[in-house]
Amino acid sequence: MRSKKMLSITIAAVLSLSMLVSGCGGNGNNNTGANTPNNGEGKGQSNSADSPKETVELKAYFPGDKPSGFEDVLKAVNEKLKADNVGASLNINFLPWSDYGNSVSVKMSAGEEFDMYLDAPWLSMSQMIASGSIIPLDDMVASRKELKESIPDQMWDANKFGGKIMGIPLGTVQGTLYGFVIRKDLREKYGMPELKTVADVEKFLYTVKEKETTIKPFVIDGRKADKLPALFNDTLNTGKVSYIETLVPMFYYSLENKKVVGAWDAKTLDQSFERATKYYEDGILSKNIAQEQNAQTLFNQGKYAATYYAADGVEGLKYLDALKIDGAELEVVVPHDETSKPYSNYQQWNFLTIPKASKHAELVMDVANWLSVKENHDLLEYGVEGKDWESVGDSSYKQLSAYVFPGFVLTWRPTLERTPDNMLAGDKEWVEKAGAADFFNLSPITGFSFDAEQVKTEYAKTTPFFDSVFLPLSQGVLPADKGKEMLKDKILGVGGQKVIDEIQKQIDAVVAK
Amino acid sequence: MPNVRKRGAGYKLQQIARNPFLYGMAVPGLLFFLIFSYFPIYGILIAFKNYDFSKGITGSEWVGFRNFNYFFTSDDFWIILRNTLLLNVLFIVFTTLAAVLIALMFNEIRNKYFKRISQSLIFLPYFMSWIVIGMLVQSFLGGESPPVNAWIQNLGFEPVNWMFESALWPWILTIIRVWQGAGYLSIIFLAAITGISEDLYEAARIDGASKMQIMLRITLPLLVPTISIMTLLSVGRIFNGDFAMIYAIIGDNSLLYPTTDVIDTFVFRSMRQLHDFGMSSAVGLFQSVMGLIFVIIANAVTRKMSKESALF
Repeated sequence: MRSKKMLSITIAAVLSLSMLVSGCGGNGNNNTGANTPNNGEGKGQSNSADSPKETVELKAYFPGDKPSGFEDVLKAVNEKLKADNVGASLNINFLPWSDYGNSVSVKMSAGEEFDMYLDAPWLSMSQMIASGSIIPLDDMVASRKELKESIPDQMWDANKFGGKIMGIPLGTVQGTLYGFVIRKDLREKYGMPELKTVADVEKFLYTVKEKETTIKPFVIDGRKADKLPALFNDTLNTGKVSYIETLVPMFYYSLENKKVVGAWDAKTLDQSFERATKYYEDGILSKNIAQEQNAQTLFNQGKYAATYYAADGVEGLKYLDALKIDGAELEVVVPHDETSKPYSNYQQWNFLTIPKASKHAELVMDVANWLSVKENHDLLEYGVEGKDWESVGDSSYKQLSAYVFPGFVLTWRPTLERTPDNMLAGDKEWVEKAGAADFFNLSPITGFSFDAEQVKTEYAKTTPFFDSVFLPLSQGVLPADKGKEMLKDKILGVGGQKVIDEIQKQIDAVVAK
Repeated sequence: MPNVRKRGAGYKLQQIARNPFLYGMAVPGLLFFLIFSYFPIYGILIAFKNYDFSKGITGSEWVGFRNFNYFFTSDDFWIILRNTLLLNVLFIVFTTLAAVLIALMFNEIRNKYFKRISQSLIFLPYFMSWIVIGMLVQSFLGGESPPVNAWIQNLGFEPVNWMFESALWPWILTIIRVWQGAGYLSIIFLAAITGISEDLYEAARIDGASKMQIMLRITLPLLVPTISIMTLLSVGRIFNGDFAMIYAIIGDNSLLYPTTDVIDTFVFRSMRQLHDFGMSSAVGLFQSVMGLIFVIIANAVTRKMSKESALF
């Protein structure tokens, strides 16, 4: 009997000890919240007449690797924040991409207090909003002049969720413009005039296929091949489409009868799918396209004559190494018909959001406003002037060190961005166009972003077909007719109609407003 | 065997009281499992709830088995289940076979330096990340003209389009798995061999047994308990596809899905857009429960055949 008692005492002791150990983490967190005296008093305008504010450390989580030389820049940023009497300092933590989404949601559900993080429609934004885990920012944005003005009105308007600003939209462009980066030297070698249409590009690719022995026509990563339907289409970058993307992969919206359909019924795509099939069979697209992961390297090594381009300020820069090849010249080709503006919903992919658990929301907004002042913006995004970069005119800069801050997590402001001085002329031109809100037409379904909660079982069943059917179809690996039929059968076979109906319902609600 | 007499809890406590430091050494380990393995079991609840960040685990609404629905009613459920089981069986069988062979061979090597160097070399792939291995595989078999094809053609055979032939991939993955894991496993077996009493070998040599006979009649039979325990341990994970491995090597190449898509990669693709904790936990729970059932069955079978080889 006595021994049993001792056994239970031992177990109880072990249990309580481990409770104590696991409990420690929680206590630590609570402390950080407790010693925060002045929440959001000031409006962040640096006013030297104010008495120096007590500095509150704001904790941020962002995805990716820590930029090289980040400590030095962050130190400079924090010093300037102090000098400007904002009352905050930044504690920025980078989490690996691979588990960023999960880490943040786990931290949040575990009640960890942090002040800002990157969320996005492709991450957990809709769930976070639905569960009330992040806070609306409308009033706080309205009272911060620099922040409000550094982002175009269309962008503010189009990036609301349920009519509210749930995060600061971070983006540099207002719509997508796709095109090609091609080897200009090869084009000239075959006496071809400047390429202006998709048909011109096609002709160029076939010429390379026919005449070059070591250079192949076109390369793209298998994963990115979902862009091919948009790319190899005569309606590229125009409003002359009958179906537009809903931003739910594989589902499109008809402009004529306002119906949501699957990719198999979106007539605009027919031409693309047929071209992809043909290009794949003719060897314009690589036979290895399904597995290709090194398009950038292969193009830069001079093994291909053309690759994919997007006017986003990033894609074009990836191919500058190709210029090191003897005699190589590059050219950006963006087919565009000036008579018709492309549709854009002005939607951005990244948002700076403030979790409900943060006790310093006002202060976070003060910092965001402070970062909307050109000088401060440049300091965090490009580093210390003179050491990390130097200015080339008003809108360009020359990079001096390896410091590269992922601006999309915090600092991107359409009106403040500089382009690198080594950017291809064509790239710069198109990135600037893509950044101008007026270059685009407002998409009729602006404001729609899919909330899958009601049909999540069906949605979870349809999404794997993106990889297993839609991608091979876009890559040309699955012939157009067969692929479309297969996609339709598979998606409708697992209850895809319910997903379509739900998208329709949500779009109708947005359009009705 | 001596000491088979059953002893009560009183005797055990006496032992603990007598050797407090010895037993004390187990405390950190026990704590570790308690905190990281037993407390989190409570998270199983998520599989039966419509999990909501803001409401927490206890506050979220119960949904019964609804989270399991999408997985069990998916079109490809049977294919994925088959792939997961088949690949794991191939991995377990061939890795174990190769590891036993390697261990037996190493045991015969007498040159100390050669043995150490080759042991380290064969151990090395185990420390490579799957990403690196994936890139190696890609550079051997990928691209428009894979180097392996050049070798095959030099030998007078037809080239193979590796990235299209899904039928080949269970074998390719098995080869990669054996190359990566057999060296590591062989070290465990080698350690078990070292534990075999030298007396037995001496007696056998005096009786005039050949090297082969010693290997087959002494080393191998005495190695069986270790082999079966290692196998039982891997059977517990038979419903878990090795996500890191499969995704690093196959990636998004849908042409190879028919034979390589396993539960973990499938769930990853379904959840890429949805981020639903409930649904992913449901699948995780299914994998664990099935793993447990398999271990119990395999253990019972092993017990029937040889008591010492069983896990419990």
